[in-house]
Amino acid sequence: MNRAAFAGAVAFLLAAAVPCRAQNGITLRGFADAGLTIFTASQSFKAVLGSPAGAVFGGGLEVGLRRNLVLSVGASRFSRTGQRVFVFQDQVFKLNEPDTITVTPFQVSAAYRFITRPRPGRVSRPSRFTPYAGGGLGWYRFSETSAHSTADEDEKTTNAGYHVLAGVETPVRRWMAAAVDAQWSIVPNAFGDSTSSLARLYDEHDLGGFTLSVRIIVGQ
Amino acid sequence: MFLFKSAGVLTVLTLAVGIVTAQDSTPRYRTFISDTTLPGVDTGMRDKDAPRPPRPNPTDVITRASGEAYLRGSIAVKFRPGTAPAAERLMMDRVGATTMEAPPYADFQIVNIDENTDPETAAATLARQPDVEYAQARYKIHPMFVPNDPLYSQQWNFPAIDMEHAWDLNPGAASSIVVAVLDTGVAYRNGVLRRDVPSWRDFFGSNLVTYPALGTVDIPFAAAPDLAGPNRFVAPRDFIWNDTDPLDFDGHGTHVAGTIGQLTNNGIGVAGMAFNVRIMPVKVIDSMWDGILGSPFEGTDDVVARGVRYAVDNGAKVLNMSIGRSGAPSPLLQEAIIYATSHGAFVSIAAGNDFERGNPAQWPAAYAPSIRGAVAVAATGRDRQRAYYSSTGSFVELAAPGGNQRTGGTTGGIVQQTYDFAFVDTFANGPTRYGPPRFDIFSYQFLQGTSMSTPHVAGFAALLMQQGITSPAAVEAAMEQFATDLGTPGVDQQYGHGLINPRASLRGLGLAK
Repeated sequence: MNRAAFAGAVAFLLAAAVPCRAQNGITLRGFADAGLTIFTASQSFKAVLGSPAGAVFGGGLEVGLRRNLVLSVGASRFSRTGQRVFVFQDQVFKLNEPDTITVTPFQVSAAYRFITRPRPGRVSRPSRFTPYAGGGLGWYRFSETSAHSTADEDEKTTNAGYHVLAGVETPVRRWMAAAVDAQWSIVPNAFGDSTSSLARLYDEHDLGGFTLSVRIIVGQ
Repeated sequence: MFLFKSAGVLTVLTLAVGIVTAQDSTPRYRTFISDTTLPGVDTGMRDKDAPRPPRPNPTDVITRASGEAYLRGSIAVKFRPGTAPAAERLMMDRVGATTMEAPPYADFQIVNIDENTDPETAAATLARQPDVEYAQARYKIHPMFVPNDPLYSQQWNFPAIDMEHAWDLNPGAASSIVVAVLDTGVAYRNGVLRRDVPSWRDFFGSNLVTYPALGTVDIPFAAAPDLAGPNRFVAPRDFIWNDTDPLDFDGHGTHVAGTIGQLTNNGIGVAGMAFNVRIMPVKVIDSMWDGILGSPFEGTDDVVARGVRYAVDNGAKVLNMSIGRSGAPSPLLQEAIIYATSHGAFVSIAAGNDFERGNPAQWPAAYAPSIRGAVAVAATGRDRQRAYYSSTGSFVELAAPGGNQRTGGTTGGIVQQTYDFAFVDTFANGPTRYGPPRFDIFSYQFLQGTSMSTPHVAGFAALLMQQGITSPAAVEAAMEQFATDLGTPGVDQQYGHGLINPRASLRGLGLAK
């Protein structure tokens, strides 16, 4: 998915998010988020990209169900260009050969919102912050291409993984809320088979990682 | 591999020089009477000559892989002039095209299609429409540097190690990399040398032959036309004549230097591995003409060791040593090579040509496995098999094309420009046809030997250093890790880690692949 198409998809999802008044019924909201992912395969990412972490952008839709359950589907994207390397005795030599890594997770999540309600007989304002926690499954598209690679030297795979998440949401406007979302994903055996693979050298095969993001939610 | 001492025992009847106790305090032994001559003469390819044997030691393709060769998500289309926009729209609908754009400097249009639509199928569908002049997928054009040097087609050795793709990644290193050629000198400059040529005896054959004195002769030199260029040579040094004019009296060093850095893609002659490097000619080996002309020094261990240190101290990052010998070990050579690698220079050393002469250990090659950043190089032929002469042993670390004219004929050797030997080896046909040499007439000669494989590795090292691997030990590791395994699986005594694979080493490691 190219950048323009991805941005278009996010815009569509946000536009498609129609506000639903029935808070006790099914609600539909759209969201966009921006965050930072620290990859589990930190040595491998750091060697090529200079850092084990990088910015991710994404968006999606969530459906609020009864009993404070929320189902969401979302996609995000990480893309960064570094250099191919050679490693000798823990020293990393950059080879001046551009190498672009793109990770595009598609995730389906379920979360429980811990909505605090006034206790019977007590007068108190409901909390402005709604914590939530959950987990889900994902499909993680991974691609790696370098400047002079041949077709079979490029890597394009899709790997299944799972994740757990937690966050806190707070309303910003009537139709808008913001959330801080933390997610830990595990994508086992995603790479590291090739003899020209850093992941093999470092014995790092997990494409997952920890992502902390800020989410803007449109809808009610 | 060349000899430390030239073949045969040469007796110069008239000793032109006395005992020299300290080279640096001795006067110049020769003077150019002119610094200019006509440019070197090129007598062309010598592919019909009989194969020249490797120097004896008397004592001792690639096509792109299958896969998607085009971009997804768009195709290129040219509609016939006058096609109505509505008709264009209709045709685009046939392939599910979304948008269309006309890039600058183009008379065609880029039609965007769905990522999942096969571009070749979509293009074929459009091409069948009457209003379409042509439609095609957007095929990727890969740079594949194939030198335009007219004799490149004779250089099987470069495709054999996938150099064309390696040059895509690193086109010939850079002038910041200096490669020292420790050899018989290099044809790096023009000039005329006036010398008295005494008579001498040749014990090399079964008969003792006396060659007559030639009197005072003017010997012309010229820079090899396909090797020399502006700022090409740096810090030349001659340890055989103790001056700064390491003239090649043999042709061996010039041939070796050509494989390392022959000017390439210049429309002339042949190509070299690392054609942008600067060459440091360091003469540490004497040849027949050095002896005949009375050189004060010979190519001994100590002279070579000094040459190694000189090269390192004067900025060489790669040293090529297409030289060696059998016999007793040489600690001073070992120390000199350690000095080189510990000062950031990579050393490529010939493994030797003595497999069929008892296959003795070769020095300094046998030190290479114990010194990270120095490698001993075996030779392969066009068939990627070990050449018949290539010495074997546990000291062999890598293999590279060195030629095998026993199986491949004359052109099974490694071709480079060097002297036309008919004008150099005038002693080869006996005293009656003996005359003064000319070092200004060049030809393209096919030679074989680990002397020829070694400069492939030296040039390869220059590419790796320019690519970013600055440590000699890491250069060696990068060569060995990506070498193409030949012979017995794993490291073996014929090929070491295998045949060098410059492209793979230059490409290195990615995250996943």
